[in-house]
Amino acid sequence: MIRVRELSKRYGDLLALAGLDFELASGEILGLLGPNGAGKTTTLRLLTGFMPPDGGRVEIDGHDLAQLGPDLRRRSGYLPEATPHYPDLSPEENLEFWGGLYGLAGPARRAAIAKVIEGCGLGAVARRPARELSKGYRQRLGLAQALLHDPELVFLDEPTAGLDPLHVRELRAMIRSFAGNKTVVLCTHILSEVEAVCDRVLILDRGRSALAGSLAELGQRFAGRGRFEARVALPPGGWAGAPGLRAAERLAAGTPERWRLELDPDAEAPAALAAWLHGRGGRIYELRARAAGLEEVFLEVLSGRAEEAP
Amino acid sequence: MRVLAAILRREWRALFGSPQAGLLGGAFLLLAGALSSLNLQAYLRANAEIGLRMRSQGLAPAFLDFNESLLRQDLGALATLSLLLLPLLAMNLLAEERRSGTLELLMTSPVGEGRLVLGKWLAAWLYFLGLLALACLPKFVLAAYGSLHWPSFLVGLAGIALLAGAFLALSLFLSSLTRSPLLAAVGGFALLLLLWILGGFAKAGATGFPDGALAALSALGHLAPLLTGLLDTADLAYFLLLTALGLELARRRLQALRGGWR
Repeated sequence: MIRVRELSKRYGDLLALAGLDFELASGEILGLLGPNGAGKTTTLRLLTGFMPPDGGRVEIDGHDLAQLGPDLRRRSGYLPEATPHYPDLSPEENLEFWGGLYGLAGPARRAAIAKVIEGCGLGAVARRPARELSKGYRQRLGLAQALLHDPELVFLDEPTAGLDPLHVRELRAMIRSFAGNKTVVLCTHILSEVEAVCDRVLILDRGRSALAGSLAELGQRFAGRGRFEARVALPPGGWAGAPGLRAAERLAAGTPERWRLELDPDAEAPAALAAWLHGRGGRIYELRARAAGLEEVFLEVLSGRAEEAP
Repeated sequence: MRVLAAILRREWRALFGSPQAGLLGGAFLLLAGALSSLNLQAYLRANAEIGLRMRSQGLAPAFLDFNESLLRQDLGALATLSLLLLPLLAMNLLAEERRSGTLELLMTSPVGEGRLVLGKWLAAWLYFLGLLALACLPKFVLAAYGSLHWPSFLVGLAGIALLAGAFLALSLFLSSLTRSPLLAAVGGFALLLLLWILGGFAKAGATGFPDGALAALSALGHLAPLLTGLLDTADLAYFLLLTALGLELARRRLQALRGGWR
């Protein structure tokens, strides 16, 4: 549904995006990850049509974004990072205003407002001036505004920033419930949020795509690389002197014990370790490569240690 | 129309709900009333003096023309007060949207820049017309004691309404240039004052510009005939063109803010 090709954007001397490529299928939730200044917010602003790229192309359902104009805006909902709203209006009045801008009127508007107020948990504060709302409720109001016209495309910039854990859990559950119905691009710093909510991940670094894929693909792609889980019976003296062993963490006691091991990223390291164990009177029952967590992938990619798989 | 109505409702809510706009409107009405009262006192005093003089010369007392000597003064005072009020009324229209970040949402909604600019201008203009109508209410009481020449009076009011439309459009453009409402108000006031006094430069003939050109650009020069009840298409065209210019500049500014995309 969304296809991005060679997208670039420059602010004066600063190259914010430098030839970004990615694709996102209809109904998928994409997590945009990256350090500060990686180009996440710029990417969202280009995807929402807020500003044009300096180069490259965005296609929505095969149509050039530049040609879609108001059609795209009618089909998309956007929650900017600052969650802007009119503080003198209540959430209900804010939503009435935005509904009017999206062409909603009469019973249809009332129904849409009631739906998002309930869905975003704004019922208790629907008629209080927005200036009196907590950060969490203002965030919910921003999300309600983005969803009011039931858009197919939803762009969310740091939707859970500053929220308490309870609000975070509820909001993530709501975003996750969009899977299959709405195409979502979620921009965040929080890796666990991406793991909890997204189908796919795009890691940006200095305006470029550093890595992209589904969570499972990335985990597998970075599996091995020295990360293992093992069930072993340790020799007397434990791991002392084990060849190629960088770190060991016991996950479960018993016989055999379960360990998380980090070995040298050398193809021979597992065999050398197994031989060493047998030679010292220990036994190895199972040794398997462990899929990497998103945090490990993220850190590896950004530290430049990751090698792109073919 | 639905979008325009939504913008109008939003702006009126902001204007009627904000203490700042209420204070501005109240101050405008209070000053208009005070100036009108001073004009009335001066009119009555002048009539009394003329009456005394004529009686001392054995002539029947005569009175200054009610429309010429009182209402025109009042309309002039209203126009001058508008010069102060309008930049303050317009300063928030776009600068505040930029400052609070809601402009980003507006620009990613299906509302085009043209409708956004038109809606905001219309809301402020109609609000001003409401204030103008309130400020004119005492005139209807006065009219019961004098012979009000309605066509002249209405042309004068239309002149102030046109002036307000043009000045609001220009102030709206200035409001689109900055995130600071205060800066927008100061810039707006400076620009409007310049337009107001251009005629004075034309008379002095000291600018190096052709006097005719400066006079043609002077807002006061085009307003004065309307305040006397003279309807000239050149004056109407001046204010309408100025309004269109301000709105178009504001629209283009918003377009530029989004990098030229439509």
